[in-house]
Amino acid sequence: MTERPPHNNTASKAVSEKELAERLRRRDSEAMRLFYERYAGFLTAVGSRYVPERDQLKDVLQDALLQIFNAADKFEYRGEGSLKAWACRITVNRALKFLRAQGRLRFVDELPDVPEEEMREMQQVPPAVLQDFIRELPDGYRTVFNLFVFEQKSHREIAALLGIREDSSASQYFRARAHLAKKINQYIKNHE
Amino acid sequence: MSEKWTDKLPSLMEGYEEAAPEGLWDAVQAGLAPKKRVAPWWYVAGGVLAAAAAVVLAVILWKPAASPSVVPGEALVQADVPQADGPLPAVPRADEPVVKEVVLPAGKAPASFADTAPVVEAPVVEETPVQEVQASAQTQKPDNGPMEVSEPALSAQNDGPMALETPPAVPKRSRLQVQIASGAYLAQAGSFSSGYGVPNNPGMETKAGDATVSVPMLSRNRPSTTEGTHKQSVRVGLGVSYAFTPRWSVGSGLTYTVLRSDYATVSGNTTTNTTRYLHYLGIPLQAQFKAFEWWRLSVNIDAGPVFEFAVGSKLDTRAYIGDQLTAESMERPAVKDLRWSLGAGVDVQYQLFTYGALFLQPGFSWHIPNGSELESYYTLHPFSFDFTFGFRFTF
Repeated sequence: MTERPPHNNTASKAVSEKELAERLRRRDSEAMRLFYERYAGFLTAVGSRYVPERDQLKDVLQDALLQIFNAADKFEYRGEGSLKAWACRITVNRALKFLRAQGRLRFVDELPDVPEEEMREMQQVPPAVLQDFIRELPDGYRTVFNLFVFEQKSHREIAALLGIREDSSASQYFRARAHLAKKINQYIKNHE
Repeated sequence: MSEKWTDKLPSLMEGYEEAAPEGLWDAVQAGLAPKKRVAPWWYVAGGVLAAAAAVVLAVILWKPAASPSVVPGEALVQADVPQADGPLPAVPRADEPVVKEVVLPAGKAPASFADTAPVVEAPVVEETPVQEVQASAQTQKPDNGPMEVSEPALSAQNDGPMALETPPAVPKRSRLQVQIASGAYLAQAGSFSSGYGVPNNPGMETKAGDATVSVPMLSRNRPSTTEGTHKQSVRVGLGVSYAFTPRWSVGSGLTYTVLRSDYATVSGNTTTNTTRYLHYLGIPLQAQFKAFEWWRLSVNIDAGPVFEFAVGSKLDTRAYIGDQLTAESMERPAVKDLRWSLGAGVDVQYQLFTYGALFLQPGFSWHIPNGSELESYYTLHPFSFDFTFGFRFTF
């Protein structure tokens, strides 16, 4: 789960993102490989927050990478990090599309309403464990939580994106946050 | 409890990566082979509309040269004015008076015109046999009496208001109409505002970027407000109607509607503008009653339901700090929305030429709530006044 990707992305880091974007625009196959080496691990982490199942995640990532390579001519470079952010958005959109197609975006109150605990020192928790906790949330909660926390969408934007009410998005988020806080605190307590 | 621990989460996870699924690169490479391009739906729809328009034009161009044996009424017209170069005269309805030998659009003629018409007889029954009419025409044709004057000639001799222009004949026996229409809701936009206390962050576009990202990340602890409008930007349609009596007809067709929503979320000096377009296809079912008819004008009352379903959506997002555009994105989330509307309107039609008329239709619609959580112009304005205009082809 937490193993490092088997990529040697040292070589790919020698190429600036701007140059990489320009070469992708020209459909340079070497640039595609460099992009994969540089960002596949990051995009896998992003995608697996939405689609935890490994076999399904592969389909999502494949579609996302193909879209990235095929639409590279439409990408507009806006500074270092913009290519990575653009690829991230495409991956998230692909994941949402997949979840929608699977009928997994059900926004019902599956989790009991629990009071939110005061968070302890979260820095003690490895990112891989945090990622696992997020993945364990039900699909609807997890999707709203990820969009709000990681994609920085407002509840109104999430509502527009998922076709739900703004207060439904907020409700799903607050419940997801309370459950995550409980799990993280439990983990910290167990490892003290 | 504060928001702080979730604010920290993205930075804690920032460098986190996972091994890509086995065989992913091979699968991507295999998928990079050139693919046959699939035409987008709007391209296909445009092609269908263009083809339909071509068929309509072809029928219009072909129709005047058609055989006189199409319907008995048309046979009457052609028997009476066999060589007329001007517009085809109208075929009278059973309930209209008709001038002997020369068919005049009595039902449409103004009083001044009717005053000049010398002989008016009782209405001609629609079911007049073709042979009988043709025989009548043949026997009456040699007669050069005052009644055997074609419409253009009559117009030239007449100093009244009708002398300068003759209304185009309408093929009243025709039962099929095709119309192309466009429209808009009169109450164009509805606005809303909300302050959720958990503001949007306009730096979202570069959240996953490197440390050198030029757009600063903002704290979610700052208050924000969201304001916006819902409106309809486009509505076009193609319809067909069939007249089963001289006054009543029913119709259906296909409509395409775009509903636009604009959201502006403001947090400090940052603004995120999001525009969402919802695309709907609709199938209207309509009953039409011809209430009034005079010269080139007619007034109809239309009413009926419309079934609409969402076929797609688009989200355009732009983030600004001050006046500077800092990020931009476009997404096409799938939407599911099926809804019924009930509408009614008064349709004023102006006959431009024999087979074509312009129409304007003010009306209103009730968009029946369907329980959907999707906010749009339909949910903000369940009742709306609309205005439709278009072109109608009559066959």
